[in-house]
Amino acid sequence: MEHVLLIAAGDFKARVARYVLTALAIGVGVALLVALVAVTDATRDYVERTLYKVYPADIMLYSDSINIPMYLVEELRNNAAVETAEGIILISGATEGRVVSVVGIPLRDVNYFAVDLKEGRLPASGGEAVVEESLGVKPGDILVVKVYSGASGVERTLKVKVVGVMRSFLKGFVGAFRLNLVVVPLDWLQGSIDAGPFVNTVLITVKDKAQVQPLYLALKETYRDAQVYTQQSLLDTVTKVFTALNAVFSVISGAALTAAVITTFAVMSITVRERLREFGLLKAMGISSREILLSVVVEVALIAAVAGVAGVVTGFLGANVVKDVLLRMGINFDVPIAFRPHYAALGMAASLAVALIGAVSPMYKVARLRPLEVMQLWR
Amino acid sequence: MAVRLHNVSKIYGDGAARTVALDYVSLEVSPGEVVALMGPSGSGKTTMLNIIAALDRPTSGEVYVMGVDVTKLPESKLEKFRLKNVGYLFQSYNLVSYLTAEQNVALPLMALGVKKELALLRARVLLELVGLEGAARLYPHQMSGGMQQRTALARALAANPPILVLDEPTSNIDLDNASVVLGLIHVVNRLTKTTVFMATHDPDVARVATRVVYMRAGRVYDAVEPPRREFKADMERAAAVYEKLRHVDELIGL
Repeated sequence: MEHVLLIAAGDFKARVARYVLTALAIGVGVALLVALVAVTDATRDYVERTLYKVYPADIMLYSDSINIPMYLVEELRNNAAVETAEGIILISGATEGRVVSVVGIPLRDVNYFAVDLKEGRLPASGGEAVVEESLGVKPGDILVVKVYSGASGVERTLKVKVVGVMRSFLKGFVGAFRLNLVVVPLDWLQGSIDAGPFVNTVLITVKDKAQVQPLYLALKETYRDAQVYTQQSLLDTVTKVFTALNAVFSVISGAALTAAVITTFAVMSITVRERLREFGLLKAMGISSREILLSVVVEVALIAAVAGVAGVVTGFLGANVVKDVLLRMGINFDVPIAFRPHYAALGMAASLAVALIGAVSPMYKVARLRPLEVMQLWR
Repeated sequence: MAVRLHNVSKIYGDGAARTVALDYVSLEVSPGEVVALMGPSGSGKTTMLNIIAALDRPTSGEVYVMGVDVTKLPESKLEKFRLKNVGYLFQSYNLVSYLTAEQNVALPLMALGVKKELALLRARVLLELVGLEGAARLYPHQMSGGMQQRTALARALAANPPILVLDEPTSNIDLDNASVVLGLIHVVNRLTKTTVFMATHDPDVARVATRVVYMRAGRVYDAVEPPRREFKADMERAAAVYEKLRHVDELIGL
């Protein structure tokens, strides 16, 4: 084995510049892969965690119309399987050309959604609202909101006094999650839009998670006009979105890794062609094909290891740098990107795979080399 | 017999491109003989050397090297067989460019499983044998052609092979170095009874041989004992170096 290392090390020293370039090509592909995976993972985790925070219910019953009676909410609270049941109104509206989501929630539970107050306070009476910072208002401002959902279905104008401003859910880093929430007391909203003792959303938590599915099925069966969601179904949707995102990112990093395969192939082909004389000589001396091949594999593995480590480190640091740059540019992408061991495993595996795929054809040439043919060419 | 060829033929190509490189050649060589193959270009000298060195297989016939029919060995076993039994000195110097002289010489030993330190120790003694004790750490590009050829000879001797195959060993070096190389071949043959085959065009070089085989169109025409030339080899010095080698070989178990 020592002679294999001697051959590998000797050649490596002789061609270090070329091999550094190869490692660079592989490293860029690996860095891109690791960066994209790290960003996707961090974003998904952040969205999931925030979903748990803002939607701490196991089951959500939702109707397009405000037609779920409050007594049903009471009945659900009395159900042995149910821990809590919260009836709210969730409707869309507009203010100064911007779409807002108006949420009516009982005053005693106004903090149900883990409101993160930036300034001011929570509403204490009808006509007061806590609004999302994305609306750009401050405590004391009057906000006029037109809503279209009501018992009568006609347009209504709500005039609310802003008493508090809350930080955006998910920090508003993706437009779709910028809800422009306007949270008001439920009874005031019901009165303002003539909804009566009805809500259109019920958020339910269960005592035992094993009860989620039976309750979900019972609600679906009982309220055929309403839509029933579970926390898991929302998370599944998030997972689907990120799976699609991953597919796009895979194509991007796949292109970079393919370029790295081509670079490795080109470099190793040139190297093998240059070394044919030497390989022929080594074989003529009696060094076996397996040992010569092994020396090439050692070199390729060394290139892959260096590229892998550099790629993993650069990818992870790069993702954080890009995040900082985006934040400085005013793009709200404040997602904590944490290092996970599987990034290192993924990066190293990708690096090794790229290097070996790129080198397989040149290595095959080495394995098939017959010393006499080379020596005859040499004459 | 060190080498026995029986009705060996080697044919390249077919149809119009058919070339008979060896045509039913038979030859028996005893251990310790120095056989010079002479003849015009294309007469089959190198083909014969390659077949003896187990680098090539005959189209037909039997080739016994150190009692083993090398035509029947699979490629993987041929590699090890070459390593242990045949030292090959090429026409050009053929050193591995990125290895030092001592590393070049040690390489076959390391391939045989000898530890690096011991392999390098034997390599340095062999370099002393060929008069290059001060050049152990030099790379090929730092050496003259003659030094490189002497290093290549040391490498051919590295694994202590019973057979040395030399393909025009002095054709690319100056007269002084050629004389040194031939003197070394003479010394090695005398001290170790190594069987030597060499292809050459030079009748003067052939005088180091104990037998000259003339070849033409793939056939052996004549095998004669040439008048021996006395080489200015320092047998006493060489014997002392070989004594050192014996001590190293005891350590290595070669």
